[in-house]
Amino acid sequence: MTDLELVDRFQKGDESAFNELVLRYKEKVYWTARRFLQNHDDADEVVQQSFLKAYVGLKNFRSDSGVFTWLYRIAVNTALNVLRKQRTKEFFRLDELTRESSPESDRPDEQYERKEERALIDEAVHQLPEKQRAVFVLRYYDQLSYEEIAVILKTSVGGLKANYFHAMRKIEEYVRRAHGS
Amino acid sequence: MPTGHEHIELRLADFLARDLPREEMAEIQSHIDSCPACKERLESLKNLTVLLDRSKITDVPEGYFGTILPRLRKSLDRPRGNRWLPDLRWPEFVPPVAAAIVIAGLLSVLSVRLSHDASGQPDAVSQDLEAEDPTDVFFRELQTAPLTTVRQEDAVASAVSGTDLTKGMLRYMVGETTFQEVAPLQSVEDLDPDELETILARLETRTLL
Repeated sequence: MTDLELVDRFQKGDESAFNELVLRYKEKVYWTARRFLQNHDDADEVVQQSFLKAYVGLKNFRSDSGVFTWLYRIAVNTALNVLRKQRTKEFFRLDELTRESSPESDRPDEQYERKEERALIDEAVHQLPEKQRAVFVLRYYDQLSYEEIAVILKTSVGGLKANYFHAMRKIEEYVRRAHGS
Repeated sequence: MPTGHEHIELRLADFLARDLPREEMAEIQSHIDSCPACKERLESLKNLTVLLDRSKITDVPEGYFGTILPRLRKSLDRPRGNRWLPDLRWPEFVPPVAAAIVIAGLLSVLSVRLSHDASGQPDAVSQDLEAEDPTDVFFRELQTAPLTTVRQEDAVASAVSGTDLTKGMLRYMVGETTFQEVAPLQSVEDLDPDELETILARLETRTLL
């Protein structure tokens, strides 16, 4: 069954159609939020908030853009709000950004190295301006096309390409500086 | 179509991901074959993508994805007024402590009400209920925060992205000090020229204020 058919069923009162949409997109929404916000708890908050907003919004959903794109837009906007809260906390130094552990490895030295690498990438992504960060996550990790990202972020494809380029370059420079070369 | 280094560089990440039309792939490949600088850029980008892939987040608490829908349904199936409240699980000590606080609060409210009723002053309870919006508190605190609390990289990042937070920061910065004083504190050399221009424009014209 297509997304639009599910939306149609939901708009006619079938709650199970909404459940099906959640099951279909929960992991995508989670991973986008997780890579954007870099910690599980905030990502989980985004997942719950996004689907709650979608539940309300779906009643008036029109098929101008795909359900997937629409849901992504909700998730990205929700993640941006959470990111702003994070930055507000950091601004007043009320909280430190939580860093999470990397996947376990059998070798302790390798495990340590992975942890360091993960922390470095987290920091590099963290220093990106919001828009570049969003474009980087959607393009690199979610592998969305520029056209899809343009619909989600309501911006031009040309601008997105420049944003992606700047994001990659900044991450690269950050890593290079950290390695002292 | 321009074929300079900048134009090639802009598409190198997509070239590496093999996510370009065939003609563009060939055009870039041909340029790289004859341009040591771009070849070096490509190698550097390759190393970065290896690092990015290796440090990709993949760990999730066990069974997490199975909990998403049940928790969501729990929120949705609540009475409408409570739908947007988070699903909180309190530690054991919280309910009795909360109950004690509520009782103490009720008693103090009652005493205030009785004393105000006796003196004919405005109702203190309704004043308490009109608590200030946390966002207003945030921006007011921002106005009086010392400059040293501004994390420069965040100020710059937010200034570029144009968030509400930026407005507050800029309002503070412009109100409290000149750009010349602020600029050396930011890693200006790390900024792209166009980003710097945006910040300068915003600070100087105060368009966000």
